[in-house]
Amino acid sequence: MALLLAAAVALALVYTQTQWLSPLKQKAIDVATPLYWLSNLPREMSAWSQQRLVPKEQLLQENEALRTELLIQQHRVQQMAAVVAENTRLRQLLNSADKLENRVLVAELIGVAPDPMLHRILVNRGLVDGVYIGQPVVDAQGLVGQVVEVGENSSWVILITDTSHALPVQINRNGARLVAEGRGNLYQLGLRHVPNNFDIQEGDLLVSSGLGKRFPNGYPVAVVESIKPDKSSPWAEVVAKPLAELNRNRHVLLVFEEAPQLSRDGAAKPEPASAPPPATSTSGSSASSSSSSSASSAASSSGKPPRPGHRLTPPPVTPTTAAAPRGEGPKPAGAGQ
Amino acid sequence: MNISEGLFGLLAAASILLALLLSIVDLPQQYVWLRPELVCLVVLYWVLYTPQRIGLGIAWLVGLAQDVVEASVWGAHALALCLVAYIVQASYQRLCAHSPWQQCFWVFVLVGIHQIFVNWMQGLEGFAGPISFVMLPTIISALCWPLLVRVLHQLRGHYHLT
Repeated sequence: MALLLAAAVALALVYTQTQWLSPLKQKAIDVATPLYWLSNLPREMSAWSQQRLVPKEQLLQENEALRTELLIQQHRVQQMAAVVAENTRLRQLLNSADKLENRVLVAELIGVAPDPMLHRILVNRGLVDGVYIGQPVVDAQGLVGQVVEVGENSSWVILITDTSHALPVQINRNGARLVAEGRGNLYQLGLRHVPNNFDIQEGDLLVSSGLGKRFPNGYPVAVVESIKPDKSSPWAEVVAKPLAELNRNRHVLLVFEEAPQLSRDGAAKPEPASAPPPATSTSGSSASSSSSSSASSAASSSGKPPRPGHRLTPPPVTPTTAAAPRGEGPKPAGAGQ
Repeated sequence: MNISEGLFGLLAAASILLALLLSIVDLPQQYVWLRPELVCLVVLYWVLYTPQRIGLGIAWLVGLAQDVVEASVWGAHALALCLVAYIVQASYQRLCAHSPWQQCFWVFVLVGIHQIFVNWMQGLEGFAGPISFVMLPTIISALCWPLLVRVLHQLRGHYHLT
């Protein structure tokens, strides 16, 4: 009895305080995945029947709506090419590093951690797809979270609303930097240490700032929901609402950071609009944050002077941007885990 | 005798596995606080009515399996399940004398202990649940107890397992 209890406590201590169990954790995901898949089966079946058993008129109508939406999105993507080229030229003028172009991989959600305080989801991509720990995860609306454990064919993603998670963000309007932390509520992010007289308004868009070196910058994260100045303390109580559909999405995008695929004259390569590969697409920025990426990059680059020792010759068009200067020294990575 | 033992093992394993499956079924966000601790209840049942077969070791292993599957701190459920299994094993004769409805109160206390210890161990990784997180599943679990006892009694009676 006492032995078993001691073993459990010892196991928990080893699990939380050391890295010794990491290879086992990876195996554990592979063990747990079939169970989640099995528990998800009824939902899969109902989704399947909902897809198959619909009247023809409804399908036609949906088809029409999707075509219209595709047309609008393609129109935006056309403008994106020009904007990306212009952005690259401007960044060269400013002598700052090129923005990373992101490749994304579509992942399907196969499970949710049952503990309501543990905001984690299980997705169906793992080591074989090149998923790595710390990889950012987004959906069509905004930032979702990051990968914390990777198995062979599946991985656990921690959501930005988890109590152990925080990430560095920027107000899109003025570039002010803040830290958004999870509070265990899927509809709330808390903003720490916002002075009472800070320039922040309800409805401000918060985008990831990229300062934690974990998330790429410019992804929309949340919208400021309420600001309550507190006269008795220097900090106001600010709450933001995450933009990503954290408890409604069935598909998420895993973001791979890569060097930009630009040709010599700085123009973006033409996007293969038709017949993309089945799961991956090469246009991460256009898929997720077409509206805010240009504005946020301008905001982030304007607020940061080039580093003192930075060379003055223009950087090559395709530099190794992995170690590119980001203006300021390394901030404490707010990202938990 | 051997066949009966095999059947017993099969039934116990199947019930625990089913409870584990039901404990990870994706629930809508507003109902997620109402999920009963089914694995704990099923283990309590087997320890209470067949203490000669299901003991602390199995409870510990089931708890570890639950930790692995639910991605909680490893050892949290193992510790909690082992602890409540020990309490039940120490007092199963008195508990068996009660009707399932009266046992509800015992189960409420036992699942409450289970929840508190799981929550405490989760705290090692920085999670802290509000008090409703401990209370609501405990109440629901206690209310589920008579139903669970009835179903498992019927199954055992059907296969003449003791």
